[in-house]
Amino acid sequence: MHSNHIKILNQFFELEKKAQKMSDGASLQRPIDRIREAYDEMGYRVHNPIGEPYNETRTDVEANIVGQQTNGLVITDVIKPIIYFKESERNTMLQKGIVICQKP
Amino acid sequence: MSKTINYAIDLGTTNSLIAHYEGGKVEVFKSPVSWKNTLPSVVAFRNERIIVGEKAKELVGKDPSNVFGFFKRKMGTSETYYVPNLKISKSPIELSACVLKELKTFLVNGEQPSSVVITIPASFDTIQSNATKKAGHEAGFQEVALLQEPVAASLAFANTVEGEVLEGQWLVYDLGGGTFDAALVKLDNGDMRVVDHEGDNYLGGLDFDTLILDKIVIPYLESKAKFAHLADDLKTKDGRLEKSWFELLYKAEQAKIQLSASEETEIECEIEDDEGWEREYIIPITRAQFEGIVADKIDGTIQLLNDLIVRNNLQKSDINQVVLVGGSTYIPYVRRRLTETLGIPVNLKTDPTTAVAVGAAFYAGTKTIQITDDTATKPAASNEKPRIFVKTAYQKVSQETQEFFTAQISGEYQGAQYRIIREDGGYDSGLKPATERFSELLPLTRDVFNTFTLRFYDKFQNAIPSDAEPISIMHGKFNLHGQPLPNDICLEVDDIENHTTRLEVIFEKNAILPLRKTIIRTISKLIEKGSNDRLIINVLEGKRGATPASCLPLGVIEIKGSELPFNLVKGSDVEITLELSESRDLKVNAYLAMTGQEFHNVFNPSERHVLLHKLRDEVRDLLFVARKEMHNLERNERFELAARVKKVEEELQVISAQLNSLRDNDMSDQKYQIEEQKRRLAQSLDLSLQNTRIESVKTEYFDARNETEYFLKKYPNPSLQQRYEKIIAEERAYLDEGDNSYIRMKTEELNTLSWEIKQRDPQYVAGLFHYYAMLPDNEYTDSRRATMLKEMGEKALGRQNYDEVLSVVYNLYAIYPKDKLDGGQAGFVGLG
Repeated sequence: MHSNHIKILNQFFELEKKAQKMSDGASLQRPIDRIREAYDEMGYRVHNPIGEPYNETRTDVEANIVGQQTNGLVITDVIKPIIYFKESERNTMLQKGIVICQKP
Repeated sequence: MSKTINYAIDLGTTNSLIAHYEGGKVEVFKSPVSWKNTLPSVVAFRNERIIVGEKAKELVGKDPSNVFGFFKRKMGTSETYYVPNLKISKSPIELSACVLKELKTFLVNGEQPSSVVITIPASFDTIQSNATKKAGHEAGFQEVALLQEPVAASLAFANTVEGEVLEGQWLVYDLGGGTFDAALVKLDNGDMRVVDHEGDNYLGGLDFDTLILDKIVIPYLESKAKFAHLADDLKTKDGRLEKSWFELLYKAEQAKIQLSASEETEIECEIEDDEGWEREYIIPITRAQFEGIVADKIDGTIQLLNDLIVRNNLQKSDINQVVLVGGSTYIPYVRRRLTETLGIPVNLKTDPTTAVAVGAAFYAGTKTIQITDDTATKPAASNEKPRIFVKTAYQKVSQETQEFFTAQISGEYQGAQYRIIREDGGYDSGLKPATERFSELLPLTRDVFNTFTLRFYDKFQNAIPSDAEPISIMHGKFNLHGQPLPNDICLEVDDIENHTTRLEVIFEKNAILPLRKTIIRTISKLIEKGSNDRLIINVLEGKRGATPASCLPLGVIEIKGSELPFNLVKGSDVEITLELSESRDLKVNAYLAMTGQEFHNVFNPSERHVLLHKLRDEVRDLLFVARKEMHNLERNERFELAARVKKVEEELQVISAQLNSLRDNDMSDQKYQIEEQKRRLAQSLDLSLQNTRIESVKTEYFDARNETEYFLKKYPNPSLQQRYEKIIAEERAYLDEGDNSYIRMKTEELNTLSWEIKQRDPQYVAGLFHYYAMLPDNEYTDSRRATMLKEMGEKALGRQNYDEVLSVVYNLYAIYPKDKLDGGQAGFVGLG
């Protein structure tokens, strides 16, 4: 039931990342926000953990650690976002994120 | 009756699995944390925390003195690993025991098996085999039976060909993540044994991913931009592009998997060249290209198989099957080359990633438990009396991203470990020593209930029963520090059917500030360019069931015809974003999709916005309603209520006169005072009429409900029945609460549902067609098409093809002017 939505949401995440990098990407922001809100209403939430601290208790992402430091890590790149599905205040994680971490 | 072992573990060099046999079926369990059925055989010691599996694998090579993998290769040796974080040494047996213990936590059935089958490579000698047994004992298994991996895989294969007589020899080809093994297995009079084996401890899937990067991706990038030392920059620790290396490695693995299913794929990446330009590259890879680069390695493994055959003086024709094991055998080239080179059928029926565990579980299902004392598999710990008692302290609601949790425990906790896991699999504390008091910072997912489980384990990682309740923390709501909304915040929208406007809730009472929401509504009337028509976005504070006039206006945006570059067509979209800050500033933004215009305003609660013409309209409407209702009440002989309404009507007349004498540009406070009075009067009118109004809404609801029920009985349909039950599930609550708009919404849902059922009723469809057929052709927007459709409908009716009749009805509906159908009502605020 969720697998097609996950595929779309991953592409949506890519699209959003690209729009942010484009010089005139702001014009895409409105439809992007609308898609996100429509999915939000359906209960899906895409979470981009960029910039968040990382340690090994975080099992919501699969991490690739850059460098030799293993403490004080921060998520510096997100290859796939975390996708949740919310139903009556209960959360299910549909996809773990794939991230790159390093010590800033 | 003797019991069988039933549990089996594939203790692999790179990955391990646990499976269970019951009633002829095998289940391979999944990790409650990573959701995968494979557990990386890696152990990490992070201060006092022990981590096994995926999270430990991430640290491989980063913290080499505290993180260990591939220790299976050292089983049976005297080598030990010094762990600086623990200041003690760990043997390969102890590390293997950690993996085995972790696998026990996969058992969702809560059982604690005391006997298990563990698989070992064909190459393991007696010392290595005994070391594996010892690891099993250290993990708390009292009885450990060993089984060779190729035999286990063969058993999995044998169970797929049930009914056939299996005799003879076959090859097991095991190409996993990091190792390759080949074995010759013989079945003779029901006795299955490994005759000979071969292997390469340093070849597997990871090598193929690296080859994709080395042979395809790096040369491609070097041909497209300036990279002097790309391979070094990517692969060197702390190299300039080390971060990109991990991303590329992940994408190479995905491409490899993709190429097993399709002929071509691509790797998309962004990378910075030597001149500092970050560019996006799309690197195409075909299956042929991939096969070209891995051919040598794979052909090498097949050569090892050939050696095995020759060494045992066999002909290829002596071999019945090749059984595939390991994820890398999904690669089509492996399967094709095996068939081409050996000319032996390749078995594709077993799942290569789980074959060893599945086969071992089949074996465990036949192997009788030997231990005689009463220590057979224990039931779930939750069925036993608690042995550890827990008192916890934490905030049950929070707006923070993490929340502090502390526990005080008593009972048999000496030497025990605790572990906290978030129910959605997003957090795992790892195993930590249980002390009288301990604490953790628990990360929260926003806006939901975060549930964590706290469990205790003994030294064998068997669960110790405790009285710990699930830890539930609600994030984002009902926080004592946050400001809740005292009333619903609503938008005024047209209620065409009832010739009035009604409220639509945007933010519910008790929601925590700040709040933001975007809604899209359609324009319910044509607003001509240059005209005095207007679209009014009116935001009000009040109870949702109340009339708009009785609520406190927070802010209003008016979009006039004179502001439009062209006509705003009925049915076009308006996107409204409402933001309410913590200090209750209201920001309204309206975007007209058709004209691309944006209108916005910020309303401060300390200043009130009153539109004089709107106020006049409202007072006039209120007067109209008061008079109408007064007559109704008198007619129904409800004189007491009528007298109350009359009093309101008289006061309304007074303020109406005051309003008419006010100039449009009046600067005094009078319009605010009148607005206040109007609101008070509207509220008392509301109160007086509430009961009569709710009665009619409820009548409509029950009519819709009865009709739906009638048609559901006539045309039973389980899925529509389910929908119906869902709609009426909380009926008692919303009917008791008397929330008009919510009941209306439910009525609409019922009407939609009953329409779906009615479409199946030939009588109804025929009646509907006759209704449209009676409407004169010249009233349709396309009269010729109407004539034609009516004829088609008559014919379809004659043939009793009701689907076709329905389709004609839809077509007729589409060409009939809608304003004629709904009586030509126009909107009031212009929002539908």
